[in-house]
Amino acid sequence: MKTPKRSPFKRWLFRIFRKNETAIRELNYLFWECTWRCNLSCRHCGSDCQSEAHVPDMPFEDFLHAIAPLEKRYPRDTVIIAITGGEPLLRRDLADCGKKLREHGFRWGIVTNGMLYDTARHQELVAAGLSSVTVSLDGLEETHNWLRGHPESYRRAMNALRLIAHTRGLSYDVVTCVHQRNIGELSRLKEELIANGIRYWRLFTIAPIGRAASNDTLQLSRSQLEEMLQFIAQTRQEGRINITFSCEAYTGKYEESIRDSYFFCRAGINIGSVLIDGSISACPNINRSFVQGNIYQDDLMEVWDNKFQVMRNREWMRCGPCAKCKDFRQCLGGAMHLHPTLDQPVLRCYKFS
Amino acid sequence: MKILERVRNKKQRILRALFGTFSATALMFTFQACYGMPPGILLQPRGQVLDAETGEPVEGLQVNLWMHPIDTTDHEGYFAGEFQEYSPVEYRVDVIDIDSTVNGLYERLDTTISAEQLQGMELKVQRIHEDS
Repeated sequence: MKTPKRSPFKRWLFRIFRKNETAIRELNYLFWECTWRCNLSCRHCGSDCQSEAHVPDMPFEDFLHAIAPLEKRYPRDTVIIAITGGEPLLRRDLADCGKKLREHGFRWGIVTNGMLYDTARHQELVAAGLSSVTVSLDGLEETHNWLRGHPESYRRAMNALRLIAHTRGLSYDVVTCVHQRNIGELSRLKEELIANGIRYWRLFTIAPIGRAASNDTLQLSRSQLEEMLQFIAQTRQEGRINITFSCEAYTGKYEESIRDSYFFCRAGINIGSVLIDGSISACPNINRSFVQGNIYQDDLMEVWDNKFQVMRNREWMRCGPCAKCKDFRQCLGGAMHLHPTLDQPVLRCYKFS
Repeated sequence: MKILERVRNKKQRILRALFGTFSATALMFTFQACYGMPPGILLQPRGQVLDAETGEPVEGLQVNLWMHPIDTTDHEGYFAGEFQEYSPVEYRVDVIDIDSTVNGLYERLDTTISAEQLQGMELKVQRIHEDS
């Protein structure tokens, strides 16, 4: 298929925009890793969470205390808290936490596998001010259940999605981890989503991190990766469902046709996280060696203002395959989670020339 | 030192505002962590497009929000759609005649509306008369 022509002017403008956003560095997307407990044991999990986590859930009061400075600094409703885990629905106090976050002027949402998302829970969460949900759906029924390791997981995720998609004003999307087993069924999955009234769909690949690092069958080959990008571009042209490629990597010639904007890893620029043990980082899937502080010892905003340099100046990523790449200034070394440590090159390059 | 920092901050904010205004899309500011949920609020803009002279509804016009097609007006001039937004302050709306002279020929309307007006827009478009 033909890809749209690269626009050097737009790309140049975008780089100015990115540089400016990096300088402003507003923290307006904060993950809260509220639990490490999970009710599934997915083959591709990037977090290595467990059914009975050895780390206890973080008390909500601790988190609320840590984010108090954000409330003072930023206008109401401009910071969103992304509650993640493990599986956040395992926390019985989730709606109470959300309600308090709204009272303090934060918007909030969850990333869930949908296993515990029934009508009663949906109503409870919406009443507590839930504004955004992401549900994972990794293929048609058989494939999804295989990856998630539970025979009911597809049906329950679909039920959750139907509830969410038909609720007015609730922002949502479906995320699908594309791997070798489900790449052939993306077209059928698309029809399934459309038939169920679902309009927002995001695809990403499985990074070789966490549990997925030891499972070769989950990584797409180079040609499969391109096949997936072409599928996204074609589906966007059809206009029947809003599909995007996750902001996980620079894709070269596909940049203009697979997302609404260019690749921009905002980890440490707009995105921060409070991890289960209080660690302060950016996205939770970033290697824990990049932790910048801890809410039990440090002030979150002080850490945000004075640290995170490793994510705001990414020249150190210019090594390995990136060392002589002419697209580096556009890509800046890909997403942070694709870098295992400071002295190692990117785990995977997604660029197509 | 503090003055220099203030000037720099001001410059960054101005540049950001310029990007917001002229990028023709709010999507540059609509980001999502790769493993997180969408940060936006799902808006449901709706309204009616009327002929500015006669007050009659106009069919066949495309209504865009931040350049993204929302809907095409029906025979009563109504439109309704969805849009994920990150910064709910004001919205750029434009209405484009996409069916040429079928249902009449209309000038492009380009306007800005507030968040409060989003679910009850009344947009008036100017007809282009064939003899003009």
